[in-house]
Amino acid sequence: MSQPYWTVIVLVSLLGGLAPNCIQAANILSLKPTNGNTEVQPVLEHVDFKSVVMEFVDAQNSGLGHTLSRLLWREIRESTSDLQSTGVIFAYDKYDEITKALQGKDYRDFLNAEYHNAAMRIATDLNTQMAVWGDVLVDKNLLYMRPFLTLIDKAVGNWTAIKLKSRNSPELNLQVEIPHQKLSFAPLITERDSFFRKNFRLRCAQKNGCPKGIELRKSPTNESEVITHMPEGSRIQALDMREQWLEVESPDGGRAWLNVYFVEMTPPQIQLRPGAKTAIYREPGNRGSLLGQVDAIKALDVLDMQRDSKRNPWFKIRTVKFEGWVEGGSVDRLYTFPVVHFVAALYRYSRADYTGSIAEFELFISRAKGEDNSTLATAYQFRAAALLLSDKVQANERLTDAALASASKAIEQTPYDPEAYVLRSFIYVGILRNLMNGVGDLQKALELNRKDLAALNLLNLLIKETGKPDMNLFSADQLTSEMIDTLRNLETRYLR
Amino acid sequence: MSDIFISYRRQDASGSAGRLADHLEKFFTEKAIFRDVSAIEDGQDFGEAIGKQLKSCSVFLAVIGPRWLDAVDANGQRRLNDPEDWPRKEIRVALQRNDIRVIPVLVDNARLPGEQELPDDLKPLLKRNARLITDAGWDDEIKRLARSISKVMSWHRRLRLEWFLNPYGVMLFSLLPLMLLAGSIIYIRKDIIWADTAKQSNLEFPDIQKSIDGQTLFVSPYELFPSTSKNHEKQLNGIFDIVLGHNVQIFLSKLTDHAPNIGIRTLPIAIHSSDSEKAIKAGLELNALGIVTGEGEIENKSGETIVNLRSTFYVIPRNEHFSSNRTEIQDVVPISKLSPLEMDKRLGKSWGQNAVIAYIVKVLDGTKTALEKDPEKLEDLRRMLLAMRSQMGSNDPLLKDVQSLFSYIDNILPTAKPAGVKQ
Repeated sequence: MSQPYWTVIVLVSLLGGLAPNCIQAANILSLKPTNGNTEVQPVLEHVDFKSVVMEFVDAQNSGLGHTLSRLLWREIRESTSDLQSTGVIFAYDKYDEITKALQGKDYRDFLNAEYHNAAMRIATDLNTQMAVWGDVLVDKNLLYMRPFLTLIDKAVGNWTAIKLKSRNSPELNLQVEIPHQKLSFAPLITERDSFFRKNFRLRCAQKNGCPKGIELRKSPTNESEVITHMPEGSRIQALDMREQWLEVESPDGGRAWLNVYFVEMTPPQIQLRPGAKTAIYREPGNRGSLLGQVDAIKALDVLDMQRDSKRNPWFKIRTVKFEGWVEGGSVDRLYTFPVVHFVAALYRYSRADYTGSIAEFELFISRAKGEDNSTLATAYQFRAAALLLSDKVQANERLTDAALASASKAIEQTPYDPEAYVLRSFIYVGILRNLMNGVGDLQKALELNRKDLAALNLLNLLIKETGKPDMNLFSADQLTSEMIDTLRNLETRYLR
Repeated sequence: MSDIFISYRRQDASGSAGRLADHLEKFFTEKAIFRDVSAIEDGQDFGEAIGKQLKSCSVFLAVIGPRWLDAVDANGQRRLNDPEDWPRKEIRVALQRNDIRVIPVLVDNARLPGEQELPDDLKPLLKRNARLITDAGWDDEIKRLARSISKVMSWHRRLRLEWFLNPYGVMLFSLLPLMLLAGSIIYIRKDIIWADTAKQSNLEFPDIQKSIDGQTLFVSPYELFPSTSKNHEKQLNGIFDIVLGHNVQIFLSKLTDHAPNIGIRTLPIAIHSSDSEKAIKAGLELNALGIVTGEGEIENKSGETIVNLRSTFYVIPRNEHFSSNRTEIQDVVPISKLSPLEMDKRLGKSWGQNAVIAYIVKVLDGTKTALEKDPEKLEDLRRMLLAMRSQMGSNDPLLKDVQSLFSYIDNILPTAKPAGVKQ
């Protein structure tokens, strides 16, 4: 089945991390089948780690493909805005190329084959590490959005492989491949009315500031008449959304349109962290106005959001005892789209922010409802690796136990993935010095795939270790005659 | 508004289109069918009426006769080249609507045009399953066409309100209990009635394109388990029509990751899952990679709605290396909302995998010796299976089949150690 060759002409992008508040490039993506000539203009060229969010396929032409993927892009950007040298590109279809390409085709076939190929192609050409793409369907008042994530590991030297070193032996370097390059996520199903009917706070998104205030327009285009201006920081009630335009209530009670650039992306909910008291303040940005402290609470609605003088966000919440403000940095944000947690976790993992990565993977896992088993397994595997890497300076039993539990969870989800067993085998041998369990997992991995490179290398190393006078990876008493037989059998079977 | 729009070229197939409409009226109401001459009321604007009907129909029949392609206007120009040509406009609009079924109907021994012969906007028409209606087989072929049309129309559209509003409405209404009784008898005995239809058609598929490269799966319309309640039957009919009817190619979704060469088409007749002889006969005749048949039912378990689908997958031809050439796959799909959308999302995955298995079996089939000499191809298949299995959960219905194929390939492959193992 030959697929048309798609490529990017130009793109719109915002840069996270380097300059969180200004538009770096404001071009438009056009998806166009071509004869194979790549016409990609470099975007965020000097940014090390970036992803591209593609406008979601919208077979019903509801206009929501653009709207929802744009919101998703804003959330991903928000979730990674503190990370240096990272970016998120939004590629949107200005000239209706998707609709044209879809004509006469089954859209799901189009989505999974052609559009997926287009996403991969664009992500590779733009030198990004990930592509987020998907589709949107509307069923009466219900919105149905299904995201996919494709990991492009060729872009920057095999970044999706989990690479670990054992602190017990310098020779033990593990490289485990994540076999799932295309991850699907449970669809987000939500009611249109309640989804867009939100209270937003206005922000200025222009380099030179907004001396007159923020423009409310008569219709959803940049050329349309300006009805009024509203000051930055004021609150506005949204009613609906079309492409990048929010339909809002204007101060005179009528309707107006506002570019979504000019609102703060408020997370719908936050979560107070377990194991720590969270301080609640009377006023945002003022630590002197302490109301009290509360323990971990799951999922509190965000009533309002403001930024302090350093542009750090503060969230207004209500608990049984208090109604007040918490610092954005002291709580976990729950994003509208669970995939954002997964993507943010990968960003943080790649930037060696392992604590942040663990937190985001945990949020994704705790919110997982109807997620694919292989997507969950990938989250557990990366979480295990992040726990081990965050713990590399000194041994910490709690973190190692958590890593072991996470690796076991990955095995539960995908019990036929040899790499999942290799990862756990590494934890047993390379960290816990538990030879018996380590060899058990190794055996299982090789039974599943006798050509598994990581497993064969680990086995090779263990066999070499048995011949040494001082063994780093296990104690001599673990090397029973039974164990020696097992290792010999494995060697004969898989290494000769 | 009418449900079935018949598009035709006056110079070409005026007679056949009229005959087609007349015969379809035996199955549907007169008002369900729109053909420009008969269904436009006096005084109504011609273009406006056609536009309205095109927007509201659920089935579009493009009647193509021998002169459809080459008919010329007064200046000797091919009519089809003119973007304003009525049949061209009608088909273009129909193809742009993703929610209707477009069926090219070939009459008077016409053939389906080649891609080069059509203007760009009509090319997608060639991807739709065409039906050939011959003079000799007219009655049977119309019956089959009517059956497939009726599946696209929802039940309330089939049962038209006008029936009860005309002067005979009251009389009709009083006969309703009798009709229901007759209906139930027909439903209960449908196996016999349908089997007869199949016998008459003699398992020939003149109106379905055979697989040229043997890489196409043909999917028979699914049937309901006899135990299905009337209420659920109504809901499921709508779903199966959409999920497993003319849109079966949606199941290519996962397939494209692993085996991009496989195609999927609908089989115009229902084959019962247990009728292996018929399935294999149909498969051989169509040069199919496989035939898929199935049944479904719905149940409510402690507040949760569960759709059970049993798919039977026949690999054509028989393969001695595979555990069985008839593989039964049970898909238990818990759903929060009984909608085609939901079903589609839930079922897509396992279906793509079914097809991957069929592909691999086909590659292995009868070419054992050749494959032993082609370790590269075997390595490819092994990788494909390994990736598939790595993503499976412990209850994956396809696990057994993937395991058995994987071991088979592993056993014929040379046992050499892979490159990259440190010494």
